Amino acid sequence: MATNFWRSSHSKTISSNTNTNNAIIEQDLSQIPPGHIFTDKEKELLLLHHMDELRNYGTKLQMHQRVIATAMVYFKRFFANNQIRDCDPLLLVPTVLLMASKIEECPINCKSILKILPSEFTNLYSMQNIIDCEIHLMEQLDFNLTIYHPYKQLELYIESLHLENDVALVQSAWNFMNDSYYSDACLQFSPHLIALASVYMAHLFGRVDLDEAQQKQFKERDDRIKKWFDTLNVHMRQIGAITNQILDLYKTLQESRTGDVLATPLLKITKMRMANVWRTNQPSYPPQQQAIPPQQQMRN
Amino acid sequence: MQFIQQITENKHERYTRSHQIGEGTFGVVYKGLDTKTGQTVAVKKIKMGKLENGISFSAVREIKVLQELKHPNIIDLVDVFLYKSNVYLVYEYMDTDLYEVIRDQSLLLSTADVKGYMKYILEGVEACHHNWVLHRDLKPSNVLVSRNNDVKLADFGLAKVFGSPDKRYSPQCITLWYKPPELLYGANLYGPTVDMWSIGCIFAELMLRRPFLPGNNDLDQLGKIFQGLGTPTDSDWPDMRSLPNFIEFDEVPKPNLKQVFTAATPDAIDLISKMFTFDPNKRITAKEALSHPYFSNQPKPTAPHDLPLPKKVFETESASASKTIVASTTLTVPQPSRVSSTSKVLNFDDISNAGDDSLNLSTISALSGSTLNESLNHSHLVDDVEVPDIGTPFPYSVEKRRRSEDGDEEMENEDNEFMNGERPPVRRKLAM
Repeated sequence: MATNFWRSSHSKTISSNTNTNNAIIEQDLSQIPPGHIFTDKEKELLLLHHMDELRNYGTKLQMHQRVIATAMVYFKRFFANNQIRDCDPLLLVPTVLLMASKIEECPINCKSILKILPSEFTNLYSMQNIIDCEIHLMEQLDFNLTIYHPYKQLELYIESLHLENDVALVQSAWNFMNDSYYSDACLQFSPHLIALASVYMAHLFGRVDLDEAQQKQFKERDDRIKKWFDTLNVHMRQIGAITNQILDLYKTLQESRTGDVLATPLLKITKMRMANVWRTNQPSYPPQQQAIPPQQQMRN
Repeated sequence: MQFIQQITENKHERYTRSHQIGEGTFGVVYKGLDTKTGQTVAVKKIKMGKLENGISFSAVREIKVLQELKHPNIIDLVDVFLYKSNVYLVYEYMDTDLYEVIRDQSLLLSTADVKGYMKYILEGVEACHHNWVLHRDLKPSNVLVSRNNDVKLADFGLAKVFGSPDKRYSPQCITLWYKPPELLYGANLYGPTVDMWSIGCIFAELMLRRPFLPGNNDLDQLGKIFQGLGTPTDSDWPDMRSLPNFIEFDEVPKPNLKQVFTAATPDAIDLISKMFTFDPNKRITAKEALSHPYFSNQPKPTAPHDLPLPKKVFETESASASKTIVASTTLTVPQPSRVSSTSKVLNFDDISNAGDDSLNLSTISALSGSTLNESLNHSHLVDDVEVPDIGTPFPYSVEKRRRSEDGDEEMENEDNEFMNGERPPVRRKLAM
């Protein structure tokens, strides 16, 4: 929104440490039933699984890619500060979609979100749960709701590199950028770095399958891109870090989609759902039994 | 969960709230106190009620915009917190608004004062537009003025991010009297110049001391505009015929604005006529307006701390002067059974009373009423300063009725009650 990213609330939330509340959470681990504790790996796999669902629902609702991306950042940010036991990811998915649709100024009806959700969701939660969770989400995001996206920057970079006609490269860069929302890169790096990294990756991986003759053909383009990157005042180490994150992401995704690594955490989460862990705690947020607010005290 | 609740509770304990000071488009505003810094704040409780789609769109907009916009002429959103599934927005406290300034007959606004107010409003609007935000509800009551004479724009519930090409917006925004003709004609592609028309209306209102174009409905509003400014010709506004709700009006010749604004200097007339340009594409922008010679010519705009303010603002100040007496008389207010730290209320201007348990939220609402009662009768301002007699009937009756929906009239009634020397009852409904 604002013209200056560096003065925005988004830039303040960018931090290399994605799990800032680890220390606090570890203190009361002993009071938590072991079934409710997820290892970092399990959490990552579960979140990826729900990110997939988020994208599916977003597409079903015919949302703009931008809205889905905002929802993904909210989802990521929420679970960077919270554990799975704090909120059912299944409930958070429609909530972030609702919130993002409001922020990106293309509001959708809560009812139409409910319509596309599977019975797995509707058996457990109602519209009121989504609405309650929405406020909770806003608070957890510290009310910093404006999200900057790398789309604009990517277009500018492509233009600056005179690559508009190289459809394959542009598409590949665009895909890398969309995939980056699955990783933690959107929490740790500013959008312009993510855009640069996607151009870099598209340039790098576009050549992998080429034979020598074809490589020669692209030599001029590659030199130009290399030179362009040299003129930038950007640490290649950061670009490399983003690249590595996205590559790691592909590995994990492959793992979770082919093997049965996802089975254990999914079983755990189903058990928690059966035990109504979140229904008693989370959806009725804030809990009914709270200290009497000052307003009520006055009446006494 | 445990850990999340902790944060929530800490935050709501930080702010205390006393009496209602107004009602906005999507919530009730209370005066409150930040117990951490001792600063007076305004706390807006967002109406939740039975909402089909969760938190209201306008509240989301306000939070979103104000979290990003930080400018001396834009209201500062100090904090946002949750309490009992309600969202509370905490703003810096502003004593009054431009509506009160314009309405207060005893205030004389000099050319320099008008210039000052215009300059600070325009600077705020320029900051919005620079950040690609349309305010879309500029009117005197949304321009807040504090005791330190800061002029700040508020109420961003209709604010919208603009700049995406070909993105359609609703023409249903901006209060009728401040609505530009293109919106009345139903335009759904518009830009920052819609705000400039509203500013032109505020400018005219500052000079005339009455609403310039007070229409009753969309059609009447257009009639008022063309009566006041003449009908636009095709060369003035080539695109007008393509607007969805275009209606041809009987031709009215362009009046000489100099005769409407008799006291205005030529540069002021020039600026206002540029703000009232019919073609939105030719209308002056906030940035251009700020560099208009009007602001650089003599007299210089009044500095913020010299801007005239309604007496009311200083009355609350004198009310706090007599606080010690009142505090001792209100000791009889029944104590709640459980006094938590939240129910302790500090005096708004003095934190030395912080430990005084006898003051709680209910005393403060009684307190503010009774002190107001005294101070209305003898304010140092009325005694010291000669009030200039303007002598003309004040054409604000329409405005008053309109605003009564917002609870303003109710406030006025209570003021009258104080004047009769009755002790105002503690407002139960404010106690929630």
